[in-house]
Amino acid sequence: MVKENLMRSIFHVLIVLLTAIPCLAEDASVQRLLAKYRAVRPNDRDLAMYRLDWERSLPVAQQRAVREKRPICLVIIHARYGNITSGHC
Amino acid sequence: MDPVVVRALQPYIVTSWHGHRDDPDLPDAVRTVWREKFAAGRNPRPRGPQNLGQRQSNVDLAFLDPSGNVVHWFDGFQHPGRGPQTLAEYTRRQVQTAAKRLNLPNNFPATRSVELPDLEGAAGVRVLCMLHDNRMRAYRAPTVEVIPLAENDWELLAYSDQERTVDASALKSWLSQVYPPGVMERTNPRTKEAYRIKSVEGKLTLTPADTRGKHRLMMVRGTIRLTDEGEDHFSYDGNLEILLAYKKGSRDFYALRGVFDGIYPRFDRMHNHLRNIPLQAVFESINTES
Repeated sequence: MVKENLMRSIFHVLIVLLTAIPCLAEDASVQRLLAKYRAVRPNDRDLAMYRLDWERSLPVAQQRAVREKRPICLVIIHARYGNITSGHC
Repeated sequence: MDPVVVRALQPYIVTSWHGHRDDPDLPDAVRTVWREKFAAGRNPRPRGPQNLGQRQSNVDLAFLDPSGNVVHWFDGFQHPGRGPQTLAEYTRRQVQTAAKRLNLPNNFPATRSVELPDLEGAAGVRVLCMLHDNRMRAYRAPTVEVIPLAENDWELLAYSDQERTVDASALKSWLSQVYPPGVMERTNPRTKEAYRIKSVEGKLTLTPADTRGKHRLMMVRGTIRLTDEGEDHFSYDGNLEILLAYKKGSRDFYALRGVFDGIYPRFDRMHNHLRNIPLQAVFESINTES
């Protein structure tokens, strides 16, 4: 009887462990992905150009410059394509 | 970007323009800069190691007063020395010259906090991509693209308690933003336009991952291959992992975080060999919490 109870307890522990292990593994993979995301994502130092007051086009910048009495810094790219605000140049 | 230059540029509204000298709608400021740059005696010198310090680049910075008059300009890379520090010092000097000509006060306004591009309130996915090329410092600067979420994206990534597989091509609008910063890297020799990503291939597995209180999670995993428009069928691949969070009772995710980890084969013309360079990207949702 004692032996039977012991076997039943061990069986229950095994069932709990077997159902818990995939959940623990999934939780670990979630944590690992979030940690990797934080490690890979550029920090504020890498993204310093986004500390500037960017405007989407020169005509809009010029309208604001008149209104706000502020100077403009214009980046001119001699190419068919170049989007400085996205970082592609 | 040099923190001193970032601070010195705080008074300015910053914008960019791109094009060629024969463009019909050349802005006055660009016309002024290029008339001086390409005037007799300032033509580009032959490119080569012996002229490395003196060659002209295709990037100029112009400083305009509030009325739109160019008060100062300089070639972004025609600095007398070598190395990133020298370029930073050269840029600082040029920005200082502009500030003097504009009579800007020496006490600059406080530096703004980082404000990444968004969609002015619309839901989307922000893609930050980095090419870890030790030989091309400029290429290591992250690119930031923001893509609106389409109806199909919500449906494709809707919560399910069953594992399923989806085709990566269905998420092409944002996965195709994973490419290196330098658009000259892969350019059509006829049109001079940068090649876009033509196809995204791969199978992605969506798996219910976890339940935390009032939230449910799903993981998206798979290997994707990106091929551009070039006639040589140039492609590269990497592993994609995305975590999606849903409120209980909702099929639409309210937050997304993901990582692409791949290899970009870059042909080194100088040494005539192929280099495999790590290319990474992160994905994050914006304005999806409503």
